Amino acid sequence: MEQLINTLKSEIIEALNLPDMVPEDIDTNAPLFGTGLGLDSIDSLELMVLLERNYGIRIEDPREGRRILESVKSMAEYIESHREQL
Amino acid sequence: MYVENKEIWITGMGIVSALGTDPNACFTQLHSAISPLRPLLLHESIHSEHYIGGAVPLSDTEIRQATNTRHHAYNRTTLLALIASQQALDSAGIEDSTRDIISVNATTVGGMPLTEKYFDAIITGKYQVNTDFINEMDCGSLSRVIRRQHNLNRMHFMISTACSSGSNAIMFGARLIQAGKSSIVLAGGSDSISKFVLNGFLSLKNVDKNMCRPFDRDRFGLNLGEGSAYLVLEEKTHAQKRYKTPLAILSGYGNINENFHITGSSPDGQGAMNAMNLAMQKAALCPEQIDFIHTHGTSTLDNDLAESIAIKSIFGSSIRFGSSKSYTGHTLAASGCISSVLTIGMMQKGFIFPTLGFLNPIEETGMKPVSKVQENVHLKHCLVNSFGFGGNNTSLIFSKPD
Amino acid sequence: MYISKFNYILPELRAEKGYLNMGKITVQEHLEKNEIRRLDRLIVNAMGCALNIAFGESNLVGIITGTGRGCISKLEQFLADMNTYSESALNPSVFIQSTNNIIGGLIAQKLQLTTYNTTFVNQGLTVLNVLTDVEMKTLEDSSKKILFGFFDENTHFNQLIHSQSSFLQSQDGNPIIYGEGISFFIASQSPKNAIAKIESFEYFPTNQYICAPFEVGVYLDINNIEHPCVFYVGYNNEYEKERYYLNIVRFATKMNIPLIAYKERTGDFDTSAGVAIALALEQMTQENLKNIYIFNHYKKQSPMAIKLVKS
Repeated sequence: MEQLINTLKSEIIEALNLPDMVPEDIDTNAPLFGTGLGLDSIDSLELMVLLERNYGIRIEDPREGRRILESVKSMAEYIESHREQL
Repeated sequence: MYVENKEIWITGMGIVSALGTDPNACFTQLHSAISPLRPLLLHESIHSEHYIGGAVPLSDTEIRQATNTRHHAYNRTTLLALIASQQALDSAGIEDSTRDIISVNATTVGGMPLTEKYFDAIITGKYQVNTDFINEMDCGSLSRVIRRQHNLNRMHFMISTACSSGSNAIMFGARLIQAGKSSIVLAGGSDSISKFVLNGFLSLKNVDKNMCRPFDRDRFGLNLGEGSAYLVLEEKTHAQKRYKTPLAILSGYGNINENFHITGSSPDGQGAMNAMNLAMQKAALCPEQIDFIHTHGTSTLDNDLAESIAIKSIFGSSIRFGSSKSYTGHTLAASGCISSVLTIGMMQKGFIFPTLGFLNPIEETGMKPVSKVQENVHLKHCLVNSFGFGGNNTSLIFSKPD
Repeated sequence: MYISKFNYILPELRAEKGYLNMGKITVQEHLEKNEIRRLDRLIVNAMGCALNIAFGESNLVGIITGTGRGCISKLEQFLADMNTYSESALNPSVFIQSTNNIIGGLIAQKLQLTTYNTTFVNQGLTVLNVLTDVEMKTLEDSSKKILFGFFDENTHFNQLIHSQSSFLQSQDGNPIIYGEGISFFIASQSPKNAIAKIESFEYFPTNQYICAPFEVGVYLDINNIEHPCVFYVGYNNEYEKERYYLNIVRFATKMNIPLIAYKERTGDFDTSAGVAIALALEQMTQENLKNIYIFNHYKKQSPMAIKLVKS
């Protein structure tokens, strides 16, 4: 899990092209949207692209996506549980 | 001092959409309250058949025959525009010899059907692509062809402001007349369904696999459509000299930009309100005088909520409104023009179409579109909304001649 | 209409493929890193170029932009991604950036401008489309100002298209140097603080390229040219001087008017005449010139003339 979280943080920085950020700058439990990183609805769609391309997880409904993408932790948990199902 | 006081008449109109291939066919189908949306048949797309949409029931070859177009390379967007613009000129009774008119066109993707077909071949150099096709790949090619095919002698314009493009073309045409640049303007929009646009909207996760549900609580997204519609705008005295009567009067228009987000509408409906208010101000009409609102109503989560809030706050809960997107699909740059022609048809024939797909109102507003056909309705003033990416919002008002 | 401010970005180097190329992101004033992190080079450059003259400008009531092909690199990227990822998991921001009016929308967002906003996309006629709208808009509200501008970019795909386009095959075999560029302006009906007036702009539509030399000849004869004057002409590599530009060159030679082949600096593209206006304005601020005329056509379409008069 710890490794997945660190990988995810790097992938998020790369996918969203976040300027001057390193994985340590992202708080695992903090909300990704609203305050914090200043991400918007397009970023949330971009993160769904990341999940699909890198982890094979396809989210059809963006409203469901928002819940999964609440924080790095929730993303990691969703990926883990999805893997278990496989 | 610059004074705008010319009355702008609509003296001709043409339309081709999933509803039909001429105005009357479209009005009849709309009146019948049956949606013509069907599975999309897109070549070489994995999404083909999985999504429904509003395809025009004519092949490119059939359009070439119908418009007497010999040119083999015109793209589908241009071909659709040729049908609609020809109908508009014919119905306005404009002869070849009097075509001293300006055309204002609109498209979002223009020659995309050709670009996506030959993109790979051009990049890889697999085979030589005919230069005729290459010349028709951009947006401006449509405008150039319309001018040439109809022997128009004046400047031609091409507007591309995403999904509000068509309404902006009509508004721009009206302003050209107000400014005295021309007494007669051919204005319209066109777009065709492409793999590129379908995938684009899929990447935004706002496409419904089933029929869209405008203003419904459980809506998910839009259906794509294609088509074209053109209007002939004419200064009143110019039309009277030709013994022409108006199909409708363009009495108001307004374009504003909302500064919320590049793809989303402001959730408080402010952008939509500003555009509608501006158009009413131009027409010197108050909200009570508007009989029907032909909404943008794409059935996306954001648009319908914002538009619903805006309508409620200006017009209250009892205003009649509806969306034709569950009949035509979202025809992008053509949508404002298609909605305009359908609105003029309803004013002439005195009916209001039901918004198909609507069951339960959006919880936040409780606003209900017209969901059963209304007959023998007197529609004096109707508002047409078009909202696009970039926060580009345009409203038009059409009035029935006395 | 009068122009009070202008800004432009020119190609600065010759790319490997033989076209003139703007540098990577050159303008970042007024833009936060976070705002531009997803945006294409053309979009960032155009925003920077526009904001540089529009930021803090009061009385702006509209933004009018023009482009030949918009942000074509993003359009290409999306088409390529469609193939690479088999039409799934595609980046929405790439799609959004391929929309022609994205730059006008983003500039409005930065300026918090909730007024008129439109975009023209009409090959070589784009520049005259925009000028027509700017003129009408400033007349509709003569106390207000309009921000307008043009942008086009070049890419490998674009280059391939243009090298194969039938409109661009040169008669003597010389290759056309293709380019890119951005130009933005602030216009109003007030001569106060104006650099120059765009006194007129003409489109010679009859039979396009073939009759244009005659029409432009008539245009020159009836125009009251004030000296000192310079002609900006859109020929490049000299291959087409004998046609559209023939009467212009003859006239200029007879009247001792210097000719400037501006495409040597900009390369050829849909909205190069926009950059020509900016270059002409710059020359007017530096030299004692009364008139500058710009003559251009693009792919033998839309032959035109623009007349600037120093304020």
